[in-house]
Amino acid sequence: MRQSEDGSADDETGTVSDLATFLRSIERRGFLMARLALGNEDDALDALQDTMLRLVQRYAGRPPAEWRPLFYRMLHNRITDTRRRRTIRARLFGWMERHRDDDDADEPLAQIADPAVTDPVRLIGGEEAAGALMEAVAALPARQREAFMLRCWDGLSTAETAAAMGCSEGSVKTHYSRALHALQEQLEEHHG
Amino acid sequence: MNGVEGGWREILRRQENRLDAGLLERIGVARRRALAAAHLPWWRLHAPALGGAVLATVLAVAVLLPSMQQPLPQRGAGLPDDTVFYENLDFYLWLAESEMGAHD
Repeated sequence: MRQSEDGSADDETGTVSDLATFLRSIERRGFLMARLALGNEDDALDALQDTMLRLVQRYAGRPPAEWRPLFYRMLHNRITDTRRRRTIRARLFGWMERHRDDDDADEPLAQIADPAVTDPVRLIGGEEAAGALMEAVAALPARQREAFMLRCWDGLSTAETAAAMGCSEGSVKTHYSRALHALQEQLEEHHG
Repeated sequence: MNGVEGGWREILRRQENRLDAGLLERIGVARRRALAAAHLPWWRLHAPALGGAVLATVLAVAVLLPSMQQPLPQRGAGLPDDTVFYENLDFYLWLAESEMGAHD
């Protein structure tokens, strides 16, 4: 829970204008996080829109200090739902895709990997360091990636991250520490 | 947070300003759609769910009400309750077949 400068919790209900300011402040980051987790621009936009809509519909009346962890909690749930649906779809239609893969075996274009799915560097674009970092973050296990994005990228406290991830502060510390370790290893390999 | 983490944070936040204009427009549209919901009365937000609930209730009443108003069927209703009838069933069958044969 964020606190005001005098240390007391901010319990005042926000206005629609506050909500607009909050969403404007978080939308790009939320989109990039979703795109990193889902590897797809359209899915990331859908996840972002649903999350913003749910925040407005369900939590507009809550104190603004609660919005940030709530936003990330809902975004995370939405990302998890999308990934779960993909897994189910892959299982259901796996045999069809296998047949399609066989059909595509002679098609040269089918041999080229989809950059939107396999190369997060291309998704973010830009300089080499940023690309390497984004690639390494995308390769982290889901919970570690989430802890890293919330703690390091957004700067949430351990307690806020725990609220957003729906786990204990101890788990956050473990996931975050492992994420940092894995990233350092990967990026050393990249530069070394 | 140490220097490495601070550097990573800086890199990540810089990416937020590298999104292209088309994408930013789509993100803005998503935000405006979400905020539009804040101006709607609560019943408009939940209109699909409310409509579904009302429809389900109406259908349930339409299906259940007529059957509730009908009297319950009595035991053995519509059947002769005379056991003699069943005892003489062979005779009635024979009679029916004989009459059919007479008509042929």
